[in-house]
Amino acid sequence: MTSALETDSLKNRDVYNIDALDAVLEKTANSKTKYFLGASSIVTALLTVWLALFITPNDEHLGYAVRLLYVHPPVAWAALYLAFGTTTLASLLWLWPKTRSYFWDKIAGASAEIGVLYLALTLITGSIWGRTTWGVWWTWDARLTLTAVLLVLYLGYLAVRQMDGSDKVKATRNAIAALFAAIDVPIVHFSVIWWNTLHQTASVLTPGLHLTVPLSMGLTMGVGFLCTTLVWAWMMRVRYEIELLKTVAAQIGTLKAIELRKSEV
Amino acid sequence: MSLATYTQMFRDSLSVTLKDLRIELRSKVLTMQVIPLVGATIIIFGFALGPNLSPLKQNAAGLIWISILLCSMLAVQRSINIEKDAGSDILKISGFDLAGVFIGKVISVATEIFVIGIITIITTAVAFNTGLHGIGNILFLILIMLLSSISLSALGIVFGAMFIVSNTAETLLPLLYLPLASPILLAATKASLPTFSGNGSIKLIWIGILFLLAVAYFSVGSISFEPLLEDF
Repeated sequence: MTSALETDSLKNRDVYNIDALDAVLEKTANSKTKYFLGASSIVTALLTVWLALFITPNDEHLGYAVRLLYVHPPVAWAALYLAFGTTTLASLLWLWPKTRSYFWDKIAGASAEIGVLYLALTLITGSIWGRTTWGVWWTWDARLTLTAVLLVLYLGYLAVRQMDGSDKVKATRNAIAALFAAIDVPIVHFSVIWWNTLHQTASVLTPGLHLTVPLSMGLTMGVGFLCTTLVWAWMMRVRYEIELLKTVAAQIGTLKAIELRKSEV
Repeated sequence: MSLATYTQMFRDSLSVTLKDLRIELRSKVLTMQVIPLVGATIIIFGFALGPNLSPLKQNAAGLIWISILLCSMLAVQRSINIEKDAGSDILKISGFDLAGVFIGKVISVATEIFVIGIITIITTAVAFNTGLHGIGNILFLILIMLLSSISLSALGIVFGAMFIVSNTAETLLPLLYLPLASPILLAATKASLPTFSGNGSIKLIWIGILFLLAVAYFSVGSISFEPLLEDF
């Protein structure tokens, strides 16, 4: 559904007619993938809440607050690696002449928007965690500061996406801004090693993949990770659909305007 | 690429560097506007944190790098305006190798940032009474300046090219440039602390991070510059 329209819009704008665009609309509206992803997201979210609140034990030191572990690392992972990773990859695919398609630009934008949402949630949940463990809502720790910088950076990327220009110029500009923004992601990742920070290094799984927490906690975290991944995929699907519908609406508008003009002549 | 292509690329880059630096020397923007701004920034910091010298000495490294960062943005804006005044597609139709143009512009803006940095460091060391401690540390400080100048310049040149045909450069450039420059600010501040405080010696990890950032920004910049200009 996606690539046919996108490739055509790059190569030949004359292939469109209202019927073809209607078919795209119908196919999009009846997509089963979207409903499957939505339902799976809700199920895993409910499962995470149930496991976190009723099954897993309190922590010896952190008490009830340990439950933030089931939310904070999954959203941080989804933002930094899944969402921004997808944005970077899609941007590279746009810049690579052999794979160049507006599909990748739309994917990059959609993933960045969700990444920004997840990153904001990361900062909020991290702030609550900081209040309960360190006694402050915010500290100028390297990881926290660089994460906040990353949020500003991707907000800047979203602002770049709003700039004027032809479709091709905009997509190239977006891709390059995304590549630069991606440089900050490994810096955030390694900040706990490079700087002497309050934020702990990875502690649930050892480098040898040995679980250092009780199985129920590890399992709940795993479901949390699955949940944020599915919600990302669901939102990606919906966000991409909105972009596609915008393109279709613009094409329909153009075709109707052409028909109107023809009828006047 | 053949040897002749490389030779041509470096010849083009040298031409662009010399052209930009010549324009800067003639227009005197660096000497008449940017360098006075360095002075103004240091005076403002002095007012805000003084008259007691101890907070100024303690925070000298950070204040220096904030000043350099703000002034480097002017150098970048200036570089954009040079091309804007000549017409946004002048580089494209010049026949120059675009990779050579990128290298040339990076060298010219990096030179300006380096000069701004040296002046900022000397002025601050005198004004805040910190001095510069240890010959080894001073030599490392020059290396830190060099690496930071290349990173900031590569970053600025790409975003400059991105916004060359846009009217939103004034607002969007700082929004992208400052966050991307913040890791440079953090690493450069940490790396230059011993030179101003006289305590300890420079930790090589900061130089390593600055080197990695310079490589990353320069590489991504050189990949990006050509498609950016081609599409406009």
